[in-house]
Amino acid sequence: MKFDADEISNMSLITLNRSEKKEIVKRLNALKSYLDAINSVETPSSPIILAPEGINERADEPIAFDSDKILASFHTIKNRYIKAPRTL
Amino acid sequence: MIGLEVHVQMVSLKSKLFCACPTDYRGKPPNTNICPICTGLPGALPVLNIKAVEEGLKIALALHAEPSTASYFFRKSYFYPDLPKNFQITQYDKAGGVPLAHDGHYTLKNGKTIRIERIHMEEDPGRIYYEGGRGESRFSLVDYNRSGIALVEIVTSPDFTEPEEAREFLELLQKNLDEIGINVSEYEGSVRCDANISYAGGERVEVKNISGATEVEKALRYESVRQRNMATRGVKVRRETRSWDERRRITISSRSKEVEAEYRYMPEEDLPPVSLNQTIIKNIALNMRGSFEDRYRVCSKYGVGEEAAKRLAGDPALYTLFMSITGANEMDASRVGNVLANEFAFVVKKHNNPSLSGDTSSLENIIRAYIRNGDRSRFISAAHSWVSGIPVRAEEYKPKVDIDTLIDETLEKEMKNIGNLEGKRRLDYLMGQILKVSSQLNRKELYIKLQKKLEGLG
Amino acid sequence: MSSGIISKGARQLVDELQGGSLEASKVFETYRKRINELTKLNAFITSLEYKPNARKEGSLYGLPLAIKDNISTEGIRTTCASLMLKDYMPPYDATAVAKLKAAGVSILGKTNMDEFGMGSSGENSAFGPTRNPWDIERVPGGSSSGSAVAVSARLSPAALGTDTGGSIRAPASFTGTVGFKPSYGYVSRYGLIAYANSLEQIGVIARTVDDAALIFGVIRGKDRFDSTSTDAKPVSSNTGRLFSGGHFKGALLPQLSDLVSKDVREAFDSSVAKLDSEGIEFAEERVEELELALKSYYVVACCEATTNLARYDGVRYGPVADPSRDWKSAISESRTMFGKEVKARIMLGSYMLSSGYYEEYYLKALYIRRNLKLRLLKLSESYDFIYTPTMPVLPWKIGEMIDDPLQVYLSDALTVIANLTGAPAISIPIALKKGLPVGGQLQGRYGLDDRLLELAATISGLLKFRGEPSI
Ligand SMILES: [Zn+2]
Repeated sequence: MKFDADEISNMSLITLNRSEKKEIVKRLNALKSYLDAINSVETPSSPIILAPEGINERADEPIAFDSDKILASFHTIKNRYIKAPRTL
Repeated sequence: MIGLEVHVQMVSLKSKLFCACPTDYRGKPPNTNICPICTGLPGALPVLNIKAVEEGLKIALALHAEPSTASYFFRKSYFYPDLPKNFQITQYDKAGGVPLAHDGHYTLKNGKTIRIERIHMEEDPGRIYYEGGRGESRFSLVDYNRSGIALVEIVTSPDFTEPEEAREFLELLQKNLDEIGINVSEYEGSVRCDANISYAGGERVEVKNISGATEVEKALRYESVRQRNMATRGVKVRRETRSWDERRRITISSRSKEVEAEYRYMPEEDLPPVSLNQTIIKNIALNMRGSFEDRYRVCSKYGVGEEAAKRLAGDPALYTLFMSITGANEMDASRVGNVLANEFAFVVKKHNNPSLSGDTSSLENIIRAYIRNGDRSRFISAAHSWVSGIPVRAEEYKPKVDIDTLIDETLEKEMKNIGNLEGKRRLDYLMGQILKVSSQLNRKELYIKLQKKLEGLG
Repeated sequence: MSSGIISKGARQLVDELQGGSLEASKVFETYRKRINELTKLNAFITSLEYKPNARKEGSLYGLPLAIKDNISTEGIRTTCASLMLKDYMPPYDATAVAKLKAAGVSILGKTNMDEFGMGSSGENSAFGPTRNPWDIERVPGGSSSGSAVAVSARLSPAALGTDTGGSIRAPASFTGTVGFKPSYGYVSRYGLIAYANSLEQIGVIARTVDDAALIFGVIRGKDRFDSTSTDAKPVSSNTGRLFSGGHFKGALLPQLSDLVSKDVREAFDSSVAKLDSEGIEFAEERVEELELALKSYYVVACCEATTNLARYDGVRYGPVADPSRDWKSAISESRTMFGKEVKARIMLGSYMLSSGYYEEYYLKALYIRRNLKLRLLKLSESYDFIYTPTMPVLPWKIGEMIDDPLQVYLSDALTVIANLTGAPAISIPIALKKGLPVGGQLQGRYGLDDRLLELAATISGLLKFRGEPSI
């Protein structure tokens, strides 16, 4: 992928209007050229993903949540379904 | 070449993978089985259901796969209406990720081995309905009741050649899952499948979202005919994603997803890595064996005789070997069980508490060779080596070829071909045919025996 | 007397409320009145009416608090200062909020901020910039701008903020308040609307270190809804220096001083001289790993933001994704509601995660981060704290930096360190320069939050900074 505002827009589903585009592209370029220095860092072949601290488990016990509360915070409901645009 | 990606719902769990919502969503009204986590509300965080890891490992062990020592979750990003966070929490084998288990295998009835590349956990998306059918509705209706249900994805190598092999694999897998307490056959849609299929010269086509074994065979048959027809017409098969329409029995090209191959995987930092130590894995293997009664029932089901079944069920180590050798392959299961309970148990007794942790596929070869050739002394000697942890070479257990039988079989097969051959030419021809089957034979011995046999025939 | 009430700190209010000399409704109404009088500061996005808290036995009963608007509050709209969540009503409380409510707190309102936490000045809000009470033409710092302004201008005794790269400490520094970011995992993030989840923490902005410690004591601890939360010390405390008779040793990082403006450096140096004269020992350290720290911070933050903000598609909440249009164009249309800074960070993160770039940016940033974490953990074996200015510059004028976004990013250089390492850090006011507050930052050892708070209280006592905006 190129560092191309249109391609990135399409991938992240962020469309820019003309006035925004100028400013955001400028901002993107400034930030990217600032960050590019990181590319030259040599990394080892060993895994480098940092494990967050903490313990990670939950017993397999079901607890029901009040689903009506959630639906109340949603819009475009149809017969309890979420009405959404469809893919082509 | 056909490869499968099988999605299995861990139906034995009571709650979802990352939230406490119940798993009995089937038949519930839409969006009643939801919480902030499985609807991706702002601020909600996933917390791993630790039982899912155990169930996932059970499946991994049943597929003879190697569990990882630690396992990470990743975010796989794509925008889709059934995906509330617009990323799926899954596992990944690249970008620094490690799946739950890797490098397993599974044997089909015809003896063919299907390699399992990896086994990983992930969350099920919600479901989309289209009023009046997919072709008709202008919008989608989304139900998140299923969103977040724990899935295990099993990825095979492209080792299948025929659609019926894929069906058989799925049937055996399903049976095997039931066997270890994940009763998929009781839950509709709990085993779903994506298939990759390509024929000589063509590119790989992925058929998505096929439910169950019979549908897989149908979809693959359709696709193989379609791709071969294209090849005959000189049309090149391009890489694409298609979906299986059960009702119309055809695959349909899906335009939307192929451009979204950029999944932008990244680690899911909200979930600390799962540490999978050996003790946990051993305990799971032990639990999989169930009680004596469970084990006895399984042995009997496989046709192992009463005495032998009792012996296997009474010895967890033997039972584990029995399960991993037979796996889903029921053919010969009763004979394998009998050998393990008798001859093999006899060998084990001669050793002082052996670990029996050697390579099971090598033991499987030794036992199957014994079943074919009945050579007890070779079996005993090879089994001693295996129990002592000494690598066993194929020569030690491969059947010694019985020259007489080979001569008889060849004669019977070639009778009409040798009618107009005389004397030495007849002898040479038969020598050639037999050596083609078994080149290692002692030629002199074969020559003499064959000569005698032909003389006897006159 | 109402002016009496607003001059009392959180601890004192709680004592008097429990002693019966003050009434909860009276305290709340006094603050509410002042909030309504000072709307020009734009500190609150939503201010609330008094709702008595039934938990009379709670340890903070009757204490009114302001909550940053990216922390979920059930039934109270939570906007993240974004048009994307303009009308979003969370159906659940964040764990920190639930704990405060259970302790008897009443919520004064939800405070203004940089949209989704992306900003260091308080200017990037869909509800308009927050203003600094010391000079309303200047920025108050961000992203917890409204929380800091509320505390500084006496609109609230204390407030919850969140800190991803300095978002609590920067505005605390610019407004002359105390801002405490706990160790990563010490306060549950459940209900905190994520910007960069591996970096951010909920923390406290208060008038004194003691008040910050009081609130922190209530919200801290392991939570079953956040698997990264913890209440144990994962690093055994005896590997850090032992506190002995008030003798502390602080590390200074002169390599960062190039970034620091003359005004701030003067204020900082004189605080070092003062502390030194009071018997606190300082030594200079060079930390090679800091060179790329800010860059790795922005890489990690943008990458995480891309995925965290992918859920805003308008399907369930936010600007309605029109069901009569096709999926992609409808979603894209809804997502135009993000502000410019948010769009830029989502896009950059998306690029840096795409194939071929993930290894060049994200994995390298993780590697830098890991090395920095190890190095500073090692450093904390010889020191009680690292002492730096919080912000390298004085608060700038609103709009002044609009054409120089990189300059604003650079102002995070001193604060992002603690987010990368997960260590606790606190900003305390140390001086006034040109009539504007300057903050000093103390970073502790991961997991030793209580010790850092104790130390900060001692140092505050030694520096004796007094002052509040005349507003
Ligand atoms: Zn749920």
